[in-house]
Amino acid sequence: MLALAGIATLAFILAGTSVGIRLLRLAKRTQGKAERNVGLGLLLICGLAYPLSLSLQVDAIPETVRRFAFAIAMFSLAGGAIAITEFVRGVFRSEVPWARWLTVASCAAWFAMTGWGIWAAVSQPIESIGSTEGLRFILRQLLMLGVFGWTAVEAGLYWLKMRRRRAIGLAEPEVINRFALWCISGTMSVVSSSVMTVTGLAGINPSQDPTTLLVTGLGGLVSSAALVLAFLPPKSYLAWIRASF
Amino acid sequence: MPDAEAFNFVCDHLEQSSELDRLAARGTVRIALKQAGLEARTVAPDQMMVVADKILPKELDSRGIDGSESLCADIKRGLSSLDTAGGAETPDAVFKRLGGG
Repeated sequence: MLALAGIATLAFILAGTSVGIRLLRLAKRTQGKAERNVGLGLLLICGLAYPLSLSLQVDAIPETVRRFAFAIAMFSLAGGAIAITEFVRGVFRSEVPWARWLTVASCAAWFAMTGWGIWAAVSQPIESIGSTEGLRFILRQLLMLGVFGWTAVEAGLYWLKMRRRRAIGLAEPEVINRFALWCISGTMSVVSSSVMTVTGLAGINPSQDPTTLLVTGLGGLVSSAALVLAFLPPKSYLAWIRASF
Repeated sequence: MPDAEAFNFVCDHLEQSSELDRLAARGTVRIALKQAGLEARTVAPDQMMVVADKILPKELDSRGIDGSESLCADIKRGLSSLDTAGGAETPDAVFKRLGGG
């Protein structure tokens, strides 16, 4: 199980970082806010927050460096989550007041979580900084659940609309599929965060629980594949999608 | 967010050229749009033309409106004169761009 979790984490880091860089390059060319937000979000979460938070578990790294890395990881996670939230709001609910307020509330919650995480990195014993028990971990997982839950719901609803449009020739197969893949990626993150939250609430360490490792490992692999197929699709995959509609 | 120009155009045309009153005309077009997976706020003239071609005639027939085919042909001619530019960027336009770099 540990090997699966390790492979899945590595796959998620590589996939998210590659896709994030590709979308930021696209944003530089198009000046589009959507590609900038989602690219930045993926790069901060997958390329910085995940690898930096893993460094906490490497005893060979000096303690001061690990504390600093954890603080940067919390900052990156919050920045990434806010960027993804703004992507969802800007793309799907740009004219809706409640979505603006939800985004503002999400920003405030993430700033608070970052402050809490940095406080822990500075003042808590090194063993308890990245603890998967306690309120700080649960709240962080719930916030992640909220961000990716909203992502999955909006993409899923739009995917249903796009399928109806396809019936009268008003939607391209690869674009319909991209909504489905983005929904799948968000759903896998929701599943992982939910399992981690439940495990944490039950007082079990998620990193030592086989079921949690299996679910989050498989979720990470599926999410990575969905990200790559959505935003870095091989030509053969696009041809297959076009042929299958 | 106000309804799109294409939506208002079709509703106004139906109200003036058929027995449907304003509420019924707008309701009929909204039902046709929902079947097509489109929204009154964001529908573009070219999308509305496809709806007027493939869905709206059946909706008008089901409401007992005579000459639905010719009514929709008039609507399509009118829609072709509307400006297709402008309006907020739709999610499908964004997702098309995200995969096309």
